[in-house]
Amino acid sequence: MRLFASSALVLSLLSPVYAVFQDEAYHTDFHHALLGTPQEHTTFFHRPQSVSKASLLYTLSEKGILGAVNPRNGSLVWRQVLGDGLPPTNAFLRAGEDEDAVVGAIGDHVSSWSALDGKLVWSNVFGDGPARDLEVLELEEGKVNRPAKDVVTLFGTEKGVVKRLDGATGDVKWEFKDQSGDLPYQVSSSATSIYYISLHPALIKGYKIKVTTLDALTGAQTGQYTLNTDSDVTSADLILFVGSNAALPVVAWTDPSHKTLKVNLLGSRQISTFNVPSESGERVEKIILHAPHVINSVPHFLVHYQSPSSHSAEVYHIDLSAGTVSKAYSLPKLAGKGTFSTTTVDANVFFTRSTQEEFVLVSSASHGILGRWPVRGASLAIDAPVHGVSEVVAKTGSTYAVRSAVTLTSGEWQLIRNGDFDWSRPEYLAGVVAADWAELEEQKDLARELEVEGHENVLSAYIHRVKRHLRDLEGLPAWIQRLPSRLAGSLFGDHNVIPTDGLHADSFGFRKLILVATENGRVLALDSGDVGKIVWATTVIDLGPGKKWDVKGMLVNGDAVQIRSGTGEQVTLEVLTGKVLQREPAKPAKVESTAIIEEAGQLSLLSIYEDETIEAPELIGEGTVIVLQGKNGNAKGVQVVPGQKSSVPVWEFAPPAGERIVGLTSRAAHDPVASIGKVLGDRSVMYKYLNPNLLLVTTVSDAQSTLSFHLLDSTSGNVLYTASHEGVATSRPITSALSENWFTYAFWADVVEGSTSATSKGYQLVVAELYESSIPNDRGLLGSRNNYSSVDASATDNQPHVISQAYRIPEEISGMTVTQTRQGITSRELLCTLSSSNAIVAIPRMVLDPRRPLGRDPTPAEAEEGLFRYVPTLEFNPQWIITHKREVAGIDQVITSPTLLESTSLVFAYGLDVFGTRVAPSRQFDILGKEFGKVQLIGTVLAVAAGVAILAPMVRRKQINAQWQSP
Amino acid sequence: MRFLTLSAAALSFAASAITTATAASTILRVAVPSTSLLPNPGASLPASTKLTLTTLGKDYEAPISRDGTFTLRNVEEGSYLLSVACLDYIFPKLRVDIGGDVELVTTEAGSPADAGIETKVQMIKAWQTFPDTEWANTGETQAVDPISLAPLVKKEYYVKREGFSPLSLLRNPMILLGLASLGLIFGMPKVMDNLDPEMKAELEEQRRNGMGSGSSAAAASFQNFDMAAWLAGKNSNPSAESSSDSRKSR
Repeated sequence: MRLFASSALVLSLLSPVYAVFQDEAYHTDFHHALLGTPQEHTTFFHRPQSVSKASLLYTLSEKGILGAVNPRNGSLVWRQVLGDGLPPTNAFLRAGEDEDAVVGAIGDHVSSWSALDGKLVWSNVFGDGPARDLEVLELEEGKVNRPAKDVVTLFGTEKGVVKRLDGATGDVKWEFKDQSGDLPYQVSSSATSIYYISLHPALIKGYKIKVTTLDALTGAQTGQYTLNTDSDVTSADLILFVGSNAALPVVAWTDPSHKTLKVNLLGSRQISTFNVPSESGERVEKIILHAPHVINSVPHFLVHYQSPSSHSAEVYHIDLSAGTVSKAYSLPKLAGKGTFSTTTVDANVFFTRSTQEEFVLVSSASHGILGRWPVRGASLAIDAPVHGVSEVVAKTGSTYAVRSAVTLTSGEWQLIRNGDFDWSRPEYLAGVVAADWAELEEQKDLARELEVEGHENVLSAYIHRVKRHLRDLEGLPAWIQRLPSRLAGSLFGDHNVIPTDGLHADSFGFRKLILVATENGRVLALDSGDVGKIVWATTVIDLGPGKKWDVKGMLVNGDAVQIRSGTGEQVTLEVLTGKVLQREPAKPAKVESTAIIEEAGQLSLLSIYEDETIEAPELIGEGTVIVLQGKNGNAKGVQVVPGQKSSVPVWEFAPPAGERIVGLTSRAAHDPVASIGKVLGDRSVMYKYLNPNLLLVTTVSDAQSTLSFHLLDSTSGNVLYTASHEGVATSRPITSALSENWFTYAFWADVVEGSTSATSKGYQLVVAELYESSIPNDRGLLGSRNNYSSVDASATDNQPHVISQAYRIPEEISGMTVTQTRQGITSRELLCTLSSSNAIVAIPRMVLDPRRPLGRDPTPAEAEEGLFRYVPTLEFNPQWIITHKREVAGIDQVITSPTLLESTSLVFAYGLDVFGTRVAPSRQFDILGKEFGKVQLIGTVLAVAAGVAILAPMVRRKQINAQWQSP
Repeated sequence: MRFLTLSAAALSFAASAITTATAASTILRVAVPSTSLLPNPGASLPASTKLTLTTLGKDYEAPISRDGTFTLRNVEEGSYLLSVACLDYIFPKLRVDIGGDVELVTTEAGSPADAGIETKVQMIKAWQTFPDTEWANTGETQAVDPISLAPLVKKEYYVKREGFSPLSLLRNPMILLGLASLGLIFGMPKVMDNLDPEMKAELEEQRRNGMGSGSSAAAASFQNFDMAAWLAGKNSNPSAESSSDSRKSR
């Protein structure tokens, strides 16, 4: 083992760090660049350049991310985070016709972005409350020489403020303040004026819709009228639609029982009333109005009626001269859910109806079907469409082509071209809340067989083995058949290709399933060997709109995965298929968090309840201590009681006065240590302080801007080591990682007045190593003992010897993980999430050695250990960035897993984006790399053989001659 | 030392200029100039490029705009670290001080509405800063309206795999040694042939004497190399020991 370790060290010295090879990038890693589920009112096709016909698909998603997607292949063109954590229903996105920018508003922030490349045009923040609406003005006056169309916005929750913003700079041109106290609702614009729609609370209940007409040039009020709608509009969500950018915009509403539809043309007081069709007597649960947003299109609109089991629609026409609304035709009722989308081509308006079976295109002018395409190859058959947008192209003759981007109930975004599936974006992956690795079969199969043989008597084990080998022979013909192609593949092709047929593990263990739970109640399995392909997806829980699945724990246990939520509800699924095996109902007590305990090879998921009790199974070992953060803000170590829902407090760690605990870090469950000591250059040994129960507690004081790290023994609660820092930004992420005998943490440190040490500003990374003693070849107090308990009275004397060094780092680290390998022989790498540059960097452990000589060059003995001179800065070498040119945004969590190869660790990152790769911190020393030329090797052997064949007779002749000719 | 001031945020309309006179808000502009490394910053920098301004308890963020500039409005007083995160380039870091020295500036009579209004402006100062120097240790100040920030280097993410090439083979010392010995084997007989017979006889004699001990002993020591002893750092000469052993065993 020791020899192996030293050879690994030599290898790591030869090739100092792992880096991404050009030919491996994009092949061994996978990445889903996501936006989040698109929203109906902020998704559209738009041409970024008026000269070009190509359009992009824009959306401002539920996650508050604005992005452009190429409709050809579904790839992300650009994205920007507009509002993090703001309610997405009050987010707006508009693009003016033929404009090269898209304008978005979320919260009190309005910004305009270049449509082609996503760069900022302008942004502005106003102090008038959150944005309520946003429209791009398509005024006649602005047609000739205006560079960018102006924007009109409505702000405020109680007092509405309408502002007209300059389209080129974002500066305010005029503003109109509504002092009446009516609830601001929306703004609308026609070719000539701007309408401000507010809700005037009626005396008893309900609202009256109040329409204020504003002069587009000055913002002055030119007219106002109130509609007596208080009997219908009892709540604001009964207002169906406020049109905009139409020749005659409409406002439409319904009554609480969805029996009638009422429409008012803005600017007139007349209300047209229509009955909602109810032939079958089924209740209409939702009415959606679709109208074109283009000013010179024909004034037609479609009303979509959705009832629980079917849907239908009616098309209405507006007579501009008479100012009346009339029903033109209706579309037949179809079973199931459907969506409609409006497309404008020149002045013509088209409606695309999509159901789970087919796409139908109709013109707004007449009910004749222009095109009908059955759905093929899309998963629409499984998940119903929620909303969609379409683009219609009129071909020669009277044929049409339609492409629709449809959002499904699952959160998936699909593009369907004339009924054919084109591409799909798994936007539901943008909300992964928990993930875990699952081993694939095969290797388990063999392990099980070997186990059987190991436990039987010699004879039966032998028979079993012969039988197994005979069984294996069945596969021989197929294996021989595959041999030539495999050989050819290994010689000339990509030799690291993992077989992806069937769900079997590969011989290197690179192929595992990554099980993820998403916040919309779905569980998925991704294949790490096949660039993150989704193997299966199951909707486990049907959550209401806007609700998130509160997953507290996830555990892969053999062939099943358990997922427990905050209510105590537990779902068990089969790992390979995603079939739901078992459901446990919710429990009265709220689950605060969960813990995974291994006892006799059996993993179990323990619930930690709000009242600090723990539900433990029978088989758990007595005296198991679990650390939890108590309600009083203290860290607590509690003992579990087997088979009961209770807990026995063992110790409690109270942070110093004025401080609060912000983080608890412990060693990973799989954290093998290859060597108990570190061999120094002079062959003496520093013994590592190896304690499986280390716990790093992070506490901060917001008032004093200080940060402290306390290293605890989690079984006894003894404090082993404490470090403090001044001038720390406690609001920024403070991250830490703990592995083997070392820990690291990163934070923002500022200049502290009067301090001699805190004299610079920037992000810092601190690394500390724990040893048993400061003297080499000495094991400290534990030297002569055979047994040791950390709950002994004398245990407090055994403090580790800690050496640490700090580095100034260029960027903020928002998350830290350590790579895991099978035996822990390979040197580790610290994986740090860099949120500002959307990357994950792997810092080699060797660089972070706190024994690097300070202020002098290393001695030859130190150089032999691989130490080099300490410098206070640590620049992130771009070659350390494992995400290379991919922009991996919004990563919350990184998980790692060992493979069968000691050199390699699998990495999976989730949050907004999903990213997976494999890293080899000491390079791939146990596998032939791509640079190994097999053809060259064979060529060399052949050349040498040929040389021998030619030279051998010559040499033989010479030797015989020498015998004869010798004197 | 020359401090350049930036007239701060006189908002575009005159009415509010009076209010800003008391609470001075600051506009910070940073422009990426066109350099030989980055000839067209407006077009070639990715949309994810962003600027951050950080100090204890406060931080601001600005995305890159179409013309390759960053603009931050309403930055509070403070001494900030300015950094730019970019996918393709590494940018230097700056120390930016805002406020402290507030001075009254009379707006020039450019537009009649603004003429003669006294506006408080906040001073912006910028220096390049290095992570290993003290914060107070500033160098030469930079021009601030706008602050010019050129990238230092392009990021190279990938390592090129070293392919097979005959030249790299020649660079290997083992191959060179092999080639040299090959040359000796073929060259020596020719040299020997050209030597005079006396010298030749002498060399033969020498070779016969030297053969016995030296080379076989070295080979034996190589075979009996004590790995564990070497790792343990035993200072005794392993070759001497093992050679004597091997001789005894004979």
